[in-house]
Amino acid sequence: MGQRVLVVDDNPANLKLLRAILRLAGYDVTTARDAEEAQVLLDQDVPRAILLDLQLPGVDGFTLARRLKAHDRFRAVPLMAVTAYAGDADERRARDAGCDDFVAKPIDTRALPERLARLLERSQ
Amino acid sequence: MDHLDDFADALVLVSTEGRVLAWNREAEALFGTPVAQALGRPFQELIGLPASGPTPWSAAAAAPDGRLRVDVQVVARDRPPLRVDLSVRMVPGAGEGPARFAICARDVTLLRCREQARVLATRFRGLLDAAPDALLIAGPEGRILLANREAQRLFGYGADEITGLAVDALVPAAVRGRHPAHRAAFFKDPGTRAMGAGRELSGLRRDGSEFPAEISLSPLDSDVGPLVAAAVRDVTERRRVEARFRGLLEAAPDAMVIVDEAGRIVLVNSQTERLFGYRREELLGQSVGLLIPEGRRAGHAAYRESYHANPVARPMGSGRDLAARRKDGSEFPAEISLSPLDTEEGRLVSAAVRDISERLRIADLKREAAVLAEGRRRAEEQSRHKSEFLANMSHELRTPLNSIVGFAELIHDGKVGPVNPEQREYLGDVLASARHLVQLINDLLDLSKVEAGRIELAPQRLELLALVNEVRDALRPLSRVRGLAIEVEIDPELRHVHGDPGRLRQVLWNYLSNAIKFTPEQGHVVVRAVLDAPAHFRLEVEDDGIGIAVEDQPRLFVSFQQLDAGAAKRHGGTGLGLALTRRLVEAMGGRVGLESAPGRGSRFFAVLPRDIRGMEGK
Ligand SMILES: [Mg+2]
Repeated sequence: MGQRVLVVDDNPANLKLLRAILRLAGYDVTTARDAEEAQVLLDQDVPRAILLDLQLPGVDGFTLARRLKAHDRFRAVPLMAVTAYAGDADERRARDAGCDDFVAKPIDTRALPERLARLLERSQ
Repeated sequence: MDHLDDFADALVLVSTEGRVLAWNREAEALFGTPVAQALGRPFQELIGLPASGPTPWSAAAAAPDGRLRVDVQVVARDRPPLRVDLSVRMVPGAGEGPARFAICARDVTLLRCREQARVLATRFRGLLDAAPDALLIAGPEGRILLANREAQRLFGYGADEITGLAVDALVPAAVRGRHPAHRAAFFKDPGTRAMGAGRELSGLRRDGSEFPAEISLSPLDSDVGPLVAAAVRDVTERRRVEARFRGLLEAAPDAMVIVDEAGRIVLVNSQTERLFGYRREELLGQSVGLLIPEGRRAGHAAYRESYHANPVARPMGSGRDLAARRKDGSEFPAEISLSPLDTEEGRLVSAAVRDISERLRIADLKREAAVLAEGRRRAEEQSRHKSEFLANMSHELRTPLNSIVGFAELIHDGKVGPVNPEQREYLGDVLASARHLVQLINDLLDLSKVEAGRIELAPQRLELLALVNEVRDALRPLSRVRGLAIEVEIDPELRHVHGDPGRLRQVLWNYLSNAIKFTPEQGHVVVRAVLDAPAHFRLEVEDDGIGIAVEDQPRLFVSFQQLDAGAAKRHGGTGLGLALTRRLVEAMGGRVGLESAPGRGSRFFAVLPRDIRGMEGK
């Protein structure tokens, strides 16, 4: 098994797509559909990276990012926002909340594995 | 003829031509001319009779007994007119000499006055004594025939003393000289009038003291001939009030008009003169109605009455209810406040009048500004709502598009199993359509931002050639498919410009992707940057494609709200890209344009400042 990444997205089709892309790229993928589910998984295991949808039911992605970055255990985990919020202002907000990279939907399936690899490289 | 001087009456002897032959001492006294000057002069001239025409002596000559008795008005030099009884007798000449006329003259002025006074007294005394003002009745000789009690009190004379008194005795010495001329003018053209409007008039009391007076005159036809009635009012108190208030009035910022109970203007300040365009003397004594628009005068009279019934300081009205009238007839909105002024002369009302046209104008402007601001606020809110709506829409659309594009890409790329060429082609079409949809969403979002004035520019120094190459390379997959050659020509002067690289990239992307789309295979596209006066550069994309008809050109850049479906269809997509390009270029302080003809290719260009620093936030 490759490195474990956590994908958080409330849209089942998008979750399925990201899992497919990342598995094809050799990652071990766990998924969560909201912040609560993510928290449960994170308590069990610290992943190598987290791909985070920002618009989530309940606690949103911005809040989750801030919580993770405030937590010693997760501070070093690279966060990639993968979101339908596509504007410049959205990217600024995401980065302010602690996201290390920002990818607007619809994602480029060919470029995403490469991008994640670079992010992981940077955070080593 | 010394013995003539012994007579108690004035005696004069005249020739048939009226020349004075003898003139006794009494004649000197009565007519005011010394004997030495009288002898040989025409008698008519000495007593102010007409130089030609019938004379008392010619009438006597015609009488059967050669005698005539007549009352004449004598106006001797520098004297008040007198009523004189002339007794004329023709005296035969000595020997064959011509006849002469002996004239005995007696001053009957007082006598006649008393007679007339008696007549008048029986008719007018009761009426006159009831009047509050001092009233005098005088005849053409300027003698007082009747004076009511108030006049006697005012001037300090007893009833007997004042009857027959020359009016001049009631006039201060300083103005006495002019008085006879005024009197003569009045009898020549009798009419009711206020004397000396606006001038200070004075009365002279018996004890020599003077008082400020207001005098009005009216003609009075009577059994004893034309007379004049004078109403005299002692305005000492009013002058005192005036003196007291004048300083106060002049210091007031408003036009101050003081009005008596009858609505007559008693006092005004110079602000009133300026505001209404009247001179002070044109207002004093006049009805205050003069300052009120005609249509409102009746209402004002009623208001004045009610005010006098309950006189407290109060605003008369405010806003647009009140108007005042200038001398030229123009009207202005006014704010008026009233306060009662109790004086010994009675109650006066002081009115402060303020022209509020300017205030109303400013209020109107403020109201208009508020309406405009409200309109702007609403428009901004609407635009904000629209932007929010579009942002939400964009988000909602991207979510399903993400899995459409993503899964199509995975399958197309053979990542989930083998695909045959046909499947691959169809999936390619799905992807192209989906990407077009994404582009539309992006453009829509950008356009709404520019239209809401929310575009943010991030100027920086950039290398134009590098930027152009970057865009060209990004579009290379497209151009390569169509077998197009893309040339880049950048003026060396334009190596560096200050611009927003993201926006510039967007502009060039739109132009270049269009050119690639509309240029036939093996065609030619040139991206060019040249200098443009004064501190601009022109970024253009030239193709040798199908070209665009002149009538279609203006529609290309219009905002998507105005874009008609036909034009959009003819030129591919929705045309959002060009509308957005125009808005972006304009936001950067530039302009867009197009040179094209069917069959001869097109040249789309943007003229932009070489330095957009200082335009952030536009
Ligand atoms: Mg979501």
